[in-house]
This record gives sequence, structure tokens and C-alpha cells, in this order.
Amino acid sequence: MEEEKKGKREEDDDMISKLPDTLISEMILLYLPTKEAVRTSVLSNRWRSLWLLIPGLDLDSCEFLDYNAFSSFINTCLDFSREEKLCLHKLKLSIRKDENENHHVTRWIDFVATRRKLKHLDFECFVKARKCLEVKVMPLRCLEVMPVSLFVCETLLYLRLRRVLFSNSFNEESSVSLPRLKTLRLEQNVYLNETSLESLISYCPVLDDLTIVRRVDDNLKCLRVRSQTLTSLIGIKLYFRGISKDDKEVDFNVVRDYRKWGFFIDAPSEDAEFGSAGCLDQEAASEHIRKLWS
Amino acid sequence: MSSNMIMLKSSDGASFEIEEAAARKSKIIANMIEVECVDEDKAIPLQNVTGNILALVIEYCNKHIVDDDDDVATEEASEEEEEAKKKKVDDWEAEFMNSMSLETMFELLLAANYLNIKSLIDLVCQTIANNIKDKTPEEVRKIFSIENDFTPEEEEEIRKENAWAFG
Repeated sequence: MEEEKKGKREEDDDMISKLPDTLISEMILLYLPTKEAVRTSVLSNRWRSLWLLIPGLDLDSCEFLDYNAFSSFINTCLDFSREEKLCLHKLKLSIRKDENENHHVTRWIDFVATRRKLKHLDFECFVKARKCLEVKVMPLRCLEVMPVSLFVCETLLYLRLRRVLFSNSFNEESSVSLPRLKTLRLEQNVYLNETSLESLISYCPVLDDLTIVRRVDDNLKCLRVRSQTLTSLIGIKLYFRGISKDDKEVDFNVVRDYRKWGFFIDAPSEDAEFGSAGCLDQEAASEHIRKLWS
Repeated sequence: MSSNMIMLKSSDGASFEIEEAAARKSKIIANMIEVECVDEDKAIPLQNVTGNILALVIEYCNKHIVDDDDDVATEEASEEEEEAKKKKVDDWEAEFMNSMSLETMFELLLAANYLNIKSLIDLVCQTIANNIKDKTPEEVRKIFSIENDFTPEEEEEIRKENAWAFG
């Protein structure tokens, strides 16, 4: 009888709420989708603000009533982390907005990047036409501009950018420093020119996974992938993809199709995996991209 | 590879013998070994961990030390082999977590936190998170015996603040 009572009491014991904040926020809640983590705010007073301490956010503007609600939610999170001197390690934003909607993306990314703790950034943007149909090719003026601070974020390990505008030229050495970046995925972005993208890639000394998905007007003709170190190219997974007319991504392994896709790999010494990669003519590259659209 | 054995003593006085390599999964114990605070004849006292929990910690460490050795030996292993090995570990971990009550799980988490065993903290937290996932707040309260100390008005207010998450 006595034992039974004791067992019952332990069973009713709320052990999870007694865990330290860091274990709840940085470990348990981090394993949940952001939406579910926010929902824990209603469990009890203890839980009300714990979700705000999560070092990672994964948000889709579609889940909000409108873009304003989405925007004000992010502002709340960032303001809180500024006050509490917290640092986001991981940010994933998926944005669907109307063409004329006001956005603060550059500012948000600048905020998290300048904290110098960001390890993982995944950003994508879609523009809705009227009636919520997605626009296949985003007009240039709608592309979000990436802040300079992102390209000197030395803690960054993973970077995926989809449908953004690179307005930086990366001409001087100081304008890019991504010493830890291992994965770089660039999808349907617009660049200043190929030299600027080449510079960006060449200042990622430990990059081992690079994906580039092109769009017709991305300002790239012939892209030269250069790496500062020999080892960084060993085992690199390199894809150069095109977008077909129906917006499907067409995957091409660069080893096989580099000629078609305007790729040139320039490593300090011959790497078996890339064999005899050579330069190609720009005309042929643009022709192949055009074909996909015709 | 050293196969030195060291002794650990739980808060309730139980002694456990463990391979040094396995014990090093705990950063706290690894540090003690580094600075040579470990006397070979004496057990390391762990004041915050009871015997039944320490037994689980040791079971986990023993299991994972074998896996780590494999990593070194088979660096060139094929992708399939890697996958098969990973699946084996995942299955073992699932079974390991399944075999314990929530209460034990929290005690194990606190022990892993105290001993600083990162991979075990991750495993337990992931399992706890899975218990929260796809549940309503009411269900979560019930599972973990969390007492709702909000007034209905307060609760309503919080739901309104982040209405998007409750939609």
C-alpha cells in the first residue's frame, strides 16, 4: 500500500518542467518544428517563454494569416534575442509574398549574420501573383538582396539561398570570408556577374558540397569553380542544374555534363573525380539553357 | 588501444567497472582521466547518479564505444555498409529508449547532462520531443503531468498572441 502510494506520486511528478531552461529550449524544443515549439507556450507559466530561447527558427510565411503577421512574429523573436543577448544558430525562412509587399529580409539576415554565431541559413522566396498562384520566374525587382554581412559570417557551415539577388561584387579579399562553410546551395539566384560568384566560391576554403541551379537571366556565362586548397575539392558533390519550362529541376552531374552547363573546374592539381574538365564555349552553354525553355 | 578498466561509484554506493575508452564518452570523466585525478584502485564517486541510472549510462557507453572503434577501422567501408551499421545503431537506440519509463528517461537525461555525454543527451531529448510532437497542449500536459496554472482568460490570451501556431 505504502509503495503503491509512492509510485503514484512519482508518476504524477512533472519532471519535464523541472529540467533546466537550456535542456528544454536548446535540446528538446529544438527537435520540434518551430510551430509546435511555440505551441508549448500554453502548457503552463513555466513554459510560456521557453520557446523564445530556442537557438533555431524554421518558418514559412504561408502558415501565417498574412505577411504582416509573419513579419511581426520574426521581429518579436529577433528583438527578444537582442535583449537577452541570445544567438540564433539556425535560421530557415521560406517566404511567399505579394509583389508589392514590404519585406525586411535583408535586415533580418543582417541581424543574425552579424551576431557571428549563425551556422545554418536556409532562405527561399516565392512571389505570389494575384489569386495566390506562384510566379514561375520571379521578376528581378522582387528579389531579396543579401547583406554583405552574410558573406563574412565566419561561423556559417551551411548556406542555401533560393531566388535572391547578389548585389555584391566580392572584388576585394575582405568582402568574403566563409572559412567554415561546407555546403553551399545556390538556386535560381541572380548574380552581379560570374566573376562575383567565382570569388564567392573561391573564398570558401573547406567547401565540399556545392549546388548551383541556374535561371535564364542569372548573369552567368561561363563559371569557373576555383578552390584555394587541393583537399577541398576531393569528394566535392557538384551539381549544375537547369530549370525546365515547367519549373522542374533537371539534375546534371557536372562530370558528365559540364560542357552543357557552362562549368569549368580549376583545381590546383588534377582530381580524379573531375577528370579532364575543360573550358567550354559560352554560346553552347547559353544555348542549352535556352533549349530548356523553348 | 588501451583497455584499462576504471571504477565508477553511484550515489547509492553501487560500484561499476567500465572500460576507460567507454568511460571517456563522458567529458567529465575524460577530463578527470586527463588530469590524472583517477586513482586506479579507487572508484570515481558520482554523487548525482543512482545505480540503476548509472547502469543504463554504462550500457549506452559500452554500446557506442564499439561503434566508434568500427569507424576508425573501416574508414573505407562502402556506403551500404555504413548505412547498415547506422541502422543497427538506430535500432539499438530505439529499443534502448523504448525499454524505459518517462521517469527513468528524465533521470537518464539529468545524468547524461551531469556527466556531459553529448550524444546521449541528444538521444534522450529527441525521444522526449517525439512524445510532444503532433500532440495537442492538453495531451502534452497529460503525458508529462504538467499542471495548467493559467486562468482560462490567460490561456486564451496566449493562444491569441501566437494564433498562427494554434491554427
